[in-house]
Amino acid sequence: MKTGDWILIFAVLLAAALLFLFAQPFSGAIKATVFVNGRAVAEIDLARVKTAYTMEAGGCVLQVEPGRICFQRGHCPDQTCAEAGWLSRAGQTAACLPNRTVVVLSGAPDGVTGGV
Amino acid sequence: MKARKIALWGVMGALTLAICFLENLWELPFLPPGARPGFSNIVTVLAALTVGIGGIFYLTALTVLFALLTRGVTACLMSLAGGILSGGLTALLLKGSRRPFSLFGVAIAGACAHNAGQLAMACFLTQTGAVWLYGPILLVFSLISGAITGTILRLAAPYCIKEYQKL
Repeated sequence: MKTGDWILIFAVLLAAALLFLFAQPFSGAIKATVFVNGRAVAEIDLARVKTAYTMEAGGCVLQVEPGRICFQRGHCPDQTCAEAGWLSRAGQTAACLPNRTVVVLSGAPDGVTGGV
Repeated sequence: MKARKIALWGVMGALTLAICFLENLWELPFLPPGARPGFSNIVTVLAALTVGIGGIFYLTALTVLFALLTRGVTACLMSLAGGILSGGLTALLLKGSRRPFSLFGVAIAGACAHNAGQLAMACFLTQTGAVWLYGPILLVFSLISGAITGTILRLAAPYCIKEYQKL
């Protein structure tokens, strides 16, 4: 093993650590808008959510956590909304058609989701 | 070119494709789909050490073509991005007599470059930055797979170089 090898290993670990710290998915101000019957009933700034909570909208129960939001299972027959899983990036949406409830994520001014 | 050397190129190509094929057979836990240890890099570096830098590009082209035929255009593009970065870096690191890294380091650098290339291509193809979230785990994985590859290389390289000179 040459000295260069050790430097390389250290550099790779450092890069991994830096990426881990700074490439967080939730760094942008991501806004979740909840629509019921086409009307916006709630706006949540997901980046500012500090503790997890649940909220009701249009008969659905939404789970809100820091940086992400999800439909809870068991409030409609087809569960398509819950299958969509956690939403954390701008542009993601999930809809519960039986309850006419839609969650749309927008924002991310720092271009985290903008691609290359 | 002597027949033996031509045969050697054929054997190297076959080995690379066989390793690629075997690695496609299973998915690794905790890693994004398609992540592989990249043991074919052993053959690539050995090729560079014996037949020269041309061997790297020959084997890279072969794996890219193999990915296109067996796994489709997306896999081919991913393979291409990883192969170009990894092959280019390996060629650069093995060029000249004053090498900054031992074969151990060369293997790790190659693995990291391969994953970086693939991530960049995935980023471009999916148009989301979210794939970079795989970065840290892929880098650590590259380090482990590169260390295994590097260890095998250090054991195999002296023997292969000696045998090559007899050809």
